[in-house]
Amino acid sequence: MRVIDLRLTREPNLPLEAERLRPDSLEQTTLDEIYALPLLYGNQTAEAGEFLRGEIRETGDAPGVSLILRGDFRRVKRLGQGMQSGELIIEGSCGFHAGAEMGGGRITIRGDAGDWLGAHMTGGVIRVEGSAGHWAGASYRGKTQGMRGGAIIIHGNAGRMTGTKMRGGLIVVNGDCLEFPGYDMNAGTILIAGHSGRHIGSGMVRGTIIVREGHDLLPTFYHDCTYQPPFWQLMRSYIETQGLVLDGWDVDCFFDRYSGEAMTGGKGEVLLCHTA
Amino acid sequence: MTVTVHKDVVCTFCGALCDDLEMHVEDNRVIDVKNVCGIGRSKALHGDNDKPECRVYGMPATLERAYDAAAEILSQAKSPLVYGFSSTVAEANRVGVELAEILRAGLDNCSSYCHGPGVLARQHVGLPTCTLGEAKNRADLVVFWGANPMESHMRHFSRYSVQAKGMYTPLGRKDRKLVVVDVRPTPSSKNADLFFQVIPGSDYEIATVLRALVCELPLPTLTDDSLVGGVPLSRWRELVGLLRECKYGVVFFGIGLTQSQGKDLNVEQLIRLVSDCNRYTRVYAMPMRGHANVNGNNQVFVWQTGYPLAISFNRGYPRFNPGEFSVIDMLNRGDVDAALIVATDPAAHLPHTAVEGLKKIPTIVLDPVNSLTTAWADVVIPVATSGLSADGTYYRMDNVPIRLRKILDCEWPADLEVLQRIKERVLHAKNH
Repeated sequence: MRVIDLRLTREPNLPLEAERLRPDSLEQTTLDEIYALPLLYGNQTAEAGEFLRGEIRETGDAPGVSLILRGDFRRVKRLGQGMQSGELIIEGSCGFHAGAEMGGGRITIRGDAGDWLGAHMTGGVIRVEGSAGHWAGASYRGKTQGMRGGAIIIHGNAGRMTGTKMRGGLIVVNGDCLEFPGYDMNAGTILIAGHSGRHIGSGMVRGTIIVREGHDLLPTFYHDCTYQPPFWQLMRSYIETQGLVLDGWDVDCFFDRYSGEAMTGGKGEVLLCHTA
Repeated sequence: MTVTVHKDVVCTFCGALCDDLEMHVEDNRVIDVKNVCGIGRSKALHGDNDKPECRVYGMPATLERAYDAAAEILSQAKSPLVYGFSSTVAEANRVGVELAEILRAGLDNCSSYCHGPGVLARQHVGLPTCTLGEAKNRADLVVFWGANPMESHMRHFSRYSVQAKGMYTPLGRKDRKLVVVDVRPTPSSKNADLFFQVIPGSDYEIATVLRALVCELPLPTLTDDSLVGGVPLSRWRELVGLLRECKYGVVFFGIGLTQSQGKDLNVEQLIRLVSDCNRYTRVYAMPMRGHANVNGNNQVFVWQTGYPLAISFNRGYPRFNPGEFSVIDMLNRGDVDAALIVATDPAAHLPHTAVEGLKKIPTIVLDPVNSLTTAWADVVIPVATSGLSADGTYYRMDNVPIRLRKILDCEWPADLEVLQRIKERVLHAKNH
């Protein structure tokens, strides 16, 4: 595997848009070519080498590229945007749009992620060891479909509008989530292992939202039954393979199933943990 | 001295743009105004009096020197912001957009923190709306949701909505039902036939329940005594009855709806409610726009860029993302290194952290009067007051463009001219 290990040597004073920093486009590039990559710094074009220094090393025979970014990237937007393969590891926090529109590969963020994490993504896995901002896995304004595939695993908390207009895939929030998770959701699954903010799944057409605490559903959701969904253990196993163990959540948990939202057809489901 | 009487002058205080003012002018000063509210009177009498000094870095300067300094600051900036425009004419808005594009700057207006969420909601679900003239002539049900026009749009009741006598409402107030939804009693609610005092932040839930009632969906978890937003369901049924049975209803929504928890989603749900009501009768929605031409900002920005607010030209073409490119967020994060402020007073309007962000960077302000921002801005350019000493076009809250006339002479240029002069210099600096 080709490992590109870069460190942030100069913290940008203004927003830096770095969609060129994605592992699948750096398979053949030399270090000097990486340093010469154009990034948008405010309204100017800067070279990546003005901010990053590092090395390239080969480890093992496995194919692909692992891009490691070390430092505080909170002012750097669009890291890994549109990536289709490879691995991106951010040893720190990152800014807006990380992994947006990605179709494959894997992103690991050791710190916090900014807003629009994995917006419009269609495949791959994003793992955030800290917390994520608003609009994780959501759609941009004016678009009708958010995340359509892949998985976003957030170990900490998530902000508002998580999974807005989501059309497929999985979002797991191990901590708390602010208001309007799954707003106008069309399909896919959101799991909130902490406390959820108000208006869970409002406007949802289809899809599944699983919530451990925070049972503040709109009156346009109707209770169907209390049961043990057969996919629950499978889902837990899958989440564990992605490096997150849902501590303290009973494997044999019962869920109250609500269908809704009635205003939009009532084919979505919200599963509220009955025995947390 | 001769007193000249100007009739049908447009008031430029709020988005209602009353266009029946009578101004008495003597010696190039307004000495009396008729057909006007208290705030409009104050603006008309004093709006052209308290001009700031033309300054560059605190020192008195000529206009030419101020233009040069402004162009130098803006053309050297890597992430400039062009912001404001809520109290200037649409023509100046257009030049402002052009300047932002040349500078590859961020571009935002005051709707970003007032009725912007309503504009975003309109993008998603449309807006069944009417003009204020239709409301005056036809509306037999008027609902104010999160708005208090008695204090914010003082002549709205008498000219357009509640007391106005129209073609099909000849008795004015007696021909209408007035409903107010707000978080506290207000002067507007005291006049209401029905007043719903709701819990702050519950608007989305209320609108959802109202939609369910209008659409006759079951609400098994609620009884008539259940509280929705702090009000029993039985009372909401009463409102739904009015909405379904009226001949012509208009729901005016204010910042109480657009800036409470849920923001644009509140407005989306309200608009959907209004659409649902149109299965039974005619009901329309209209935002109670605040600043006189803040609607014009959205109109011009959409016309010029495709987006109503929170725009960035930093890639050379317009991109839109509220939260990323909106003025408060950009200033809070320190994403801006110079600012051009036109016809607004951010030091008075924005949160403290955003103002502190603005104070750290070179700031150019165009303002017809002394304001909290002109007190510390690096370049201060006094301008003529739109509607008094500058003409142009404003957009009323119902999207009707209204032409302003110039009735006073002013030694200072209009915003439009200043922006054009700065634009010429920026173009020269960038070798266009």
